[in-house]
Amino acid sequence: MGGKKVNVRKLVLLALSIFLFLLFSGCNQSPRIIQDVHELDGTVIGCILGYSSDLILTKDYPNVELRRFDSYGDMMMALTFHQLDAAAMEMDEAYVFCRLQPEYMILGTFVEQDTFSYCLNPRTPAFNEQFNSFVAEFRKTPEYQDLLQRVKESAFHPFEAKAVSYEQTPGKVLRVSVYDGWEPVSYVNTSTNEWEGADIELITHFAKSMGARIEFVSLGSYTQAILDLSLGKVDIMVCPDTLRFKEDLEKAGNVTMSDGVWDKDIVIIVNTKEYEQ
Amino acid sequence: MSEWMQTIKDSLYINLVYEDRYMFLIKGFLLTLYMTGLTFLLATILGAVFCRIRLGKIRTARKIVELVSTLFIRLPTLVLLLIFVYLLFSGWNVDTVFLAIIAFTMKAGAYISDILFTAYRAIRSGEIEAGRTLGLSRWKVFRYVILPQVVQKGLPTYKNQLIITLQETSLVGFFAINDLTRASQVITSRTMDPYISLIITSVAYLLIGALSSLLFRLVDRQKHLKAGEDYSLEKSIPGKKKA
Amino acid sequence: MGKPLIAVNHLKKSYGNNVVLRDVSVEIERGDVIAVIGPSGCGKSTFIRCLNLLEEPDSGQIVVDGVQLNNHGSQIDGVRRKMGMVYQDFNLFSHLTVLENVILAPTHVLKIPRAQAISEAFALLQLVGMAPRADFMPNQLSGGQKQRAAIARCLAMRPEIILFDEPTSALDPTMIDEVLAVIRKLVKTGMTSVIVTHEMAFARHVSNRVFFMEEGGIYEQGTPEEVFDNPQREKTRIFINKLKVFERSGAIHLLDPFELVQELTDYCNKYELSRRETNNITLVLEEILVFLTHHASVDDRVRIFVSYNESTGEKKMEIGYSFPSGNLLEHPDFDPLSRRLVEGFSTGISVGTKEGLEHLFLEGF
Repeated sequence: MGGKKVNVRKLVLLALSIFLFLLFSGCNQSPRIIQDVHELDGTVIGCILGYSSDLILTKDYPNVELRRFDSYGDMMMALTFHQLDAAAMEMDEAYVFCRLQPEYMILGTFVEQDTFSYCLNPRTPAFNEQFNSFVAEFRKTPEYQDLLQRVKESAFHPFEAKAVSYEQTPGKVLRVSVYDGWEPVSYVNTSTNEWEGADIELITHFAKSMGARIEFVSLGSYTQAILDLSLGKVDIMVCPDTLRFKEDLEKAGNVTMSDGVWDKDIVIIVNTKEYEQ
Repeated sequence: MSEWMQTIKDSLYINLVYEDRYMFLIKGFLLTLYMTGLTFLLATILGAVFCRIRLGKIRTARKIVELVSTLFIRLPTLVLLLIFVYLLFSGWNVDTVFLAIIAFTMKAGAYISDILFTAYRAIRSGEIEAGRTLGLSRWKVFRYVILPQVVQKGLPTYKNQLIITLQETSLVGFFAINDLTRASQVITSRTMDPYISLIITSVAYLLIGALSSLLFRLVDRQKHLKAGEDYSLEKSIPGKKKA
Repeated sequence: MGKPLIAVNHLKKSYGNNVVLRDVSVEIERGDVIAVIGPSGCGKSTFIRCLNLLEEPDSGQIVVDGVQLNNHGSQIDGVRRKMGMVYQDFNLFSHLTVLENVILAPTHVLKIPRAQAISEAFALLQLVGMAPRADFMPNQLSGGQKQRAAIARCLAMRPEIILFDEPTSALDPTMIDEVLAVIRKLVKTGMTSVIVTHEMAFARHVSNRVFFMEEGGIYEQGTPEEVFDNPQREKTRIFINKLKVFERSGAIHLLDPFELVQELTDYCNKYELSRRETNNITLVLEEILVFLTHHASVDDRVRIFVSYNESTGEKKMEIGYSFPSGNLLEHPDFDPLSRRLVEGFSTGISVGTKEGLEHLFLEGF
């Protein structure tokens, strides 16, 4: 019986030392400088849970250690304190983000021109047809190119909103759920109290094509907005997602997606200090 | 009925099989297991050390340990994690999981030292004296009189503490570490369907709880087996009447 | 014979300002059965606990079988094996059965193989009558059973001397006898023992030496006959005869005669003396105090000592005074009526000197 006791003790000590070794091997990594934006294997990248960058990185970059945060605050904090090597974002978000906070900078694009589209209610096929044909047409117009240009420029100065005026047919309403605080895509101008942004403008063009008045409904949460859309409480929602999401959304049975509207790059953001030569 | 079955099948498919999503859960499960197990091992050692100091004679050491213990018990776990990750080690480049394990260890260690301390105080000092007068050395009295009783008295609370530590590990999701809870959130964000993944996550946590219960049961059995040896020997004693 | 088993030299022990053992020196021979008696709190337990270093003496030497005990090192464990101890609170290991209690130390200290330890344990349990309950847990036993098991546990280490610290004080009267019977049996086998006890009859019958402890040391010692039947010193007598004592002394001007008389009355009431007896005693005191406060000077001292033997009913009174010299009652200023009163109340009066004061010794009442 004494022999058995000794074995158990030795086993426990062995297990303990293995654990400790594994534990300590995980610590003290030096901040990794990313040399090539296309060589992300083995790095630690942060993204927001459920956003396009999350989906893209999970699917196409299995060798990246992905940290999915609930909010931008948490993610940027982790980036500042070196818990992350970089954070991934859509390019229009990144432009404004880095403009407002120069301690972060865009390192480069690692996914070029990913297609984004809007969520639609699958139970309104006529409306969806209408939207898709509008999109197909609109993308050929100079207004669309102008919109893209202004989005790019938002990296250097605040987004220049342009008002879209048109004849409104009385009785026709387009209910749109919107989200504040997302320059240059969708936000409220604090001085004019008007909704502005690239999404807003595009949808206003759509309303113009219908001759409808726009009614803006504030987004609760993203999930709530999707539910509202599927229940028919709104006609369309701001917040385009990557088309890769279409299959999941349709399988969940609540919403579908329109044809591609925007092509956005996915970029990574790093701490400016670490990359300045 | 069959429609319902189909819905469930679809649900299971999209939550688990599609895109190998079950891997999220497995990786998360392993990470949670790893964090809980390691934390608990280290916390038991730390708790024993703290307890020893609290029972010792050096006054300053006692005061320090009591202060640190109180600090770790009173601060909420999330606050502790934030302090460790963003305050104490912010300049260095230390892995978040490592820091999380340290924070959890400190907290659980403080609680375990309390458990051991209370259990020790519940032992009658007369028994310790009796052990010494029988000729047992300090170490042997500890090994045969104090330790069994501390383990016996402290075990229920200790088991609870393990479960609590297990639950606390889910807080690492705040730092985007992919533990079991976070895994189910990731799946939900894709499928918009919380049910299956949450059910699986709950089952997984219950599984870990059951595993630890089993482990404890095994330890108990060792003790009972040992006692059993005596009974088989007693049968060969002449003149002994069965109680 | 020859070398004593335990030799104690000038043992001193205090707790803070409280001196418990002033200066104790004694020798304990092999085969001695020593009963240690005395009033509570006078150091009996402390003395016995110092013998095996459960308490650390402030100074002095304890030599066990030629080996001097010091406070450090494994020497203590070796010596402790020779000295067994039985406690007032039994102190059985509450997480082990009776059998496991008995074999714990032999298997782990003496390294006796388990099977052998068990069979020896059973022999001992038979000796104390606990064999049928070998599998019981301590919390399933009565006090008497626990103590008997504790004695067996102690014997398992084959000690040369056993120290008993009030072994029956925590027991119901119904269980005391079973334990005393075991101790008697043990002593008959020749085991050297030191027994602290309040059981006088038992102490008298079982011991060959008696230590009466009082005033921080061994106040008186001798054979049981000497100490129990013929105690030499006063406090021994008080204890043995279960005398109840009232004593006051001090300078006259510091005493309040009325308060003193009241205290004496309370004392008499406490021991349920009859009204007549209480009356007699307090009147005697009053008369004498009245005289002394009128005629003695303020610096003069007085001492009042009253003893009451509860078993025989005997009452004695001693009055000491520094003034006048000689028999106080015969002093010319002592009121003759008072004198007749005093002489009438007591059956016997004598005069003498004690503690540097003239004394009146009164008996009867």
